[in-house]
Amino acid sequence: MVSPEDREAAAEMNIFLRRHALDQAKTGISRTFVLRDDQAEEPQRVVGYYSASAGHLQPRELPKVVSEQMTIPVVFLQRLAIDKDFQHRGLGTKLLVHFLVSLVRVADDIGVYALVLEPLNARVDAFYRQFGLFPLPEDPSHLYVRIRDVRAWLLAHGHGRLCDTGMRSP
Amino acid sequence: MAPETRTEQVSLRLLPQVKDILKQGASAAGQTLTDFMVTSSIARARELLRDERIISMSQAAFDAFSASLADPETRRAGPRAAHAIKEYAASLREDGTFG
Repeated sequence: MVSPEDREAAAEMNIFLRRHALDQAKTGISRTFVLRDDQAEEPQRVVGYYSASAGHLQPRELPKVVSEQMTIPVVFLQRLAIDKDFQHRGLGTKLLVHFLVSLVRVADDIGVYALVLEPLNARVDAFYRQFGLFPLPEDPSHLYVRIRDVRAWLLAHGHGRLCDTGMRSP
Repeated sequence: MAPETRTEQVSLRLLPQVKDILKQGASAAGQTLTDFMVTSSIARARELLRDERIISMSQAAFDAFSASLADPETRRAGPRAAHAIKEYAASLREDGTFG
């Protein structure tokens, strides 16, 4: 059953990919990765994508002089979507893990403490919570996970194929 | 979501030709003019908000978040994560593609 919310969400995901993904990548605002099926009849067809960007969390009332401790650098996973013809095959989950692997690699080199995202609807929210994400304090519309924990998960379950064992802080 | 009552009102004046375009768009989308205007602007608003890259929070929430980052305890992978990571690792090919 497709609800009006699902339709709106799908429309937004499509509009972003068609209209804004390339511009944002060119200006460096965000990066978009697309998933294609190289075995398919139409290997150029995009079957899914995600886009992510760097940002930060900060207290609402900032003092006049902002020190580094007063903002927390994070990565936002802004969109992750699978073409409706390719859903229910676990592709979204695979794409998410692909993103987490590259996120941990990036976080090794630049100080990023957490991944933050805003689920589109209750179903997506439940998915990410079952994955191990938690709501932000006082803000259940956003979920987060610490990079440190993601790295530990990849090490524990990735058969040594997904990330280096050389642990670096944060 | 539970059905909610629409209590808020917005009134606006349009050029006749603008209203015509909106009506045509609404009929192409199979929606009433009101629904079309509402859903279109909601989609645009969500899109803009999703691209925000700063989240401002109360000092208390910020402190709680900072404390959770500093917590030395590793949080366990959720029930979906362990399985998903195993599957992904198993399906990963040498060239970085997966199947």
